[in-house]
Amino acid sequence: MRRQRRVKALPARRRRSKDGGVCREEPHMSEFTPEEEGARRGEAVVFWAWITVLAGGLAYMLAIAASEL
Amino acid sequence: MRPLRDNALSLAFGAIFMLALAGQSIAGWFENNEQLQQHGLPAEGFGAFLTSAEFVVDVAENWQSEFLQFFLFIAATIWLVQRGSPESKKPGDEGPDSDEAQLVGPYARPDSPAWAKARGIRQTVYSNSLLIVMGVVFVLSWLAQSLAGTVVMNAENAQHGQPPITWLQYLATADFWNRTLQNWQSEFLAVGAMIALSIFLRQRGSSESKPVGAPHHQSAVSGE
Repeated sequence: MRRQRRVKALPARRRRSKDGGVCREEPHMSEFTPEEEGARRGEAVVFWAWITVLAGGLAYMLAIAASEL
Repeated sequence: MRPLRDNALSLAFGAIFMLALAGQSIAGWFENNEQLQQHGLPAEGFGAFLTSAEFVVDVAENWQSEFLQFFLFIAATIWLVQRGSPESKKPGDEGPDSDEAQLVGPYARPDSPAWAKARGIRQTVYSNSLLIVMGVVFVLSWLAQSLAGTVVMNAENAQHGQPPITWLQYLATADFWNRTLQNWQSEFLAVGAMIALSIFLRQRGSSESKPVGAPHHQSAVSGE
């Protein structure tokens, strides 16, 4: 089994913005090393579950409305 | 347990949505039967109510306004700003942003979505996919509201000895626009209030709020 390399993301730099506040600046693309690659299965399940709810609900409502029209 | 915790926000709202929809169906069933009995008609079974236009129009009119709200809010935040609000980009950042900042095409990361790395129509579609889906759900739910509303109005007309109307005629009725606009006004009020109130008010720990100590004039900063 290939051992998965876990690399911590570099901390975001803090810079003073034009309006005087302090905000987080995202690391430059070349510096970024994500902790884990790829979408986890949980997020995909959540996404498709909501798509199913929306599509199913819309289909249900349209079918009932059209059938009684 | 990690998957549950990592997806708790959407799971929680999914659960309360289901509970609220179930509650609405029961309350709507009781109300519908009261109205039927007032007109001397027999009460309807719960299953019959769930497959009725009365139930559908009540659900659809709320769905369409919610997704219109998100559609307009997502679109508006591309071009409009509100200084001081965490719901807004910083003044001066109006517009669709650069390819480099958006990590598309040649600027995509190795772990960027495949269509972000693509060129042409695929990148365009993916770049606007959130607006597209919100818009489609709005249009279809508004269509469902209008169709079901036509059926409901025709049933009421029949009870009062009035002729039925077509779907197109229903689109011009006060009933359709009353149902539509009563939902729109509340959605737009809520979004506007959220944008404005979050300039000066804080909620520690929420991603919808600036950090408690962030200055009021600072935009586009959310709590961690």
